Amino acid sequence: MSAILRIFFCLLIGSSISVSAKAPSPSAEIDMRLTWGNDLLKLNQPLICGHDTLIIETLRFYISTIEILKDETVVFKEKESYHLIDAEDPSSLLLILSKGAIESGDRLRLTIGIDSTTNVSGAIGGDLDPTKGMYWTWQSGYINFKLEGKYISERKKGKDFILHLGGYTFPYNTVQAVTIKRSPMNPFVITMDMKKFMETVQTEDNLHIMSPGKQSFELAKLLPELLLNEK
Amino acid sequence: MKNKILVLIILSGLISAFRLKQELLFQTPMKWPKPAYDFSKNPLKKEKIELGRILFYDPLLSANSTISCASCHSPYTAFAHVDHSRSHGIHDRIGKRNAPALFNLAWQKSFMWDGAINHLDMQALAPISHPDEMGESISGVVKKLADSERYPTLFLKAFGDSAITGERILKTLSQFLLTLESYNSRYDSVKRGEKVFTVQEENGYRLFQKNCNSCHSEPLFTNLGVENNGLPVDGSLRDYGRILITSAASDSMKFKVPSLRNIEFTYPYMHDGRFKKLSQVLNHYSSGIEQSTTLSPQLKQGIQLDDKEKTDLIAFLLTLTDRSFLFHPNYGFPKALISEQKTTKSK
Repeated sequence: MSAILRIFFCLLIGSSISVSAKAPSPSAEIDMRLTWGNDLLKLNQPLICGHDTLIIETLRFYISTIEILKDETVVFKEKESYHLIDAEDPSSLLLILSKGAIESGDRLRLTIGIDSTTNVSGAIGGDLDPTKGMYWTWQSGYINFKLEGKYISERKKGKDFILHLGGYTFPYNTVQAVTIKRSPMNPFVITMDMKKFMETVQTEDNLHIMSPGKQSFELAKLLPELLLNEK
Repeated sequence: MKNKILVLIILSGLISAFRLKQELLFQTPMKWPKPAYDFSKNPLKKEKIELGRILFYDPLLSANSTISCASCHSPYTAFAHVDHSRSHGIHDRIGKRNAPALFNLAWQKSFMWDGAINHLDMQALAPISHPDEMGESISGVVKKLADSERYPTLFLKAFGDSAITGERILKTLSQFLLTLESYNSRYDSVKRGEKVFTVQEENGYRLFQKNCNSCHSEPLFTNLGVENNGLPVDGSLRDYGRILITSAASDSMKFKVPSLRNIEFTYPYMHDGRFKKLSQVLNHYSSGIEQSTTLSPQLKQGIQLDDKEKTDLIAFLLTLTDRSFLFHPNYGFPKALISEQKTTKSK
């Protein structure tokens, strides 16, 4: 019965309201490049980090609330703006936005992580689906940034690092706002240098962080500096 | 113009019909607070509720297909776990806590004994993935359901396409859980003016209002918060409650205040099922409270009741049993799974 009502409803609307098809806006891609220094990051490949060598096995993080600004004014705000960047999935490294806005804007503003409102909004699909492995099952909340790997150099052989940075409540909200100045030469490429991050992080005593709290909060503060608009 | 007016009239009619349909699937009793759950993000639909019910009773959701949600949340005991002090999961692994009763969840703002889960939709992730409970992963559940004969068709009926995602599994489970409403106990009949308490029950009710209502507030019989009710920590379990989630010293030994509805059937009591009888609970409140800085202020002096008062209070608590909820035909084992069992047995 409900299906019949739906069809009837659609026919009525269709017969009495003219629908004008809207041409889709031209889109462009923002290329997220995960790097290790000047090189592209490759998972499960040896990476020199100070006096040691390590491999990164997992790197995933959320980018959300993407906005483009011109002269401090927001000229584009992405709807349903949640993207899971996954080093293992090349297609996730392309963010499709409006071309016109990218060309006219002088700054890109985004968030690393998921806002607190979304964290308390229940089950959501797409990149926010709990099957993505970025939601804590034992305690509500998204993992904003996930980095896992291990050392293979003799000095630290076998020592692993598991960094699940999350938490959305005060005083340890790990969500990070970032503003990136647009490069006039090449506006579509943003790099995230993981070497810079690991060189700082590996001096920490504890490289197993898997819950919200002070440690997660402190490490999350390092993330915005890693994002650059490539020249 | 006339056509557009006609469309508007029909549209309003359809919206009213939709709202009425939602009301039939879920009701807020008179004088109850507004539910905390945002139904607009997950509107109830009969096919989704039924799918959620089937998922709730299907052990396929566990790693070795032996444990379903209903293994710990039994319908005839208000969806509580009565035959163990602490619930057990796959491979007979025993957890640290007793599975709480499930009803009136639309009003809850947090879930689990420590309030770790902030939304009903996300609650199922915890038992599904815990190694001592169902030992699976939500990704694993998605794959198993997609590979099954039954579920693609059920998801098609519920959603209009057969895609199975983590979001859909969790939301359909929520839909079934939201329909578990209990508000037709003898107490409720008295409150509606349909019946009257006996003298003993009335006396018990007065004692309840004086001594228990601040935490077990009417009509939900919980203040929906966390409290330290003076339980000494179990030396072997070392379960300190909400502090394990927040790391805040002020949350030490605080646990969610459970609803007292259907308490006749939701034994054993407390987060670790340490008390088998209501008399033991009342004895704890009168002489077993452990003082601490986080103890609820209302319990500093304990709850001092003589034997007759305890008996009267228990008589009142028994009026909170809602048999229409306990034996509701829409909440029990689904026929779809019974048919499957018969087919399996005959092979």
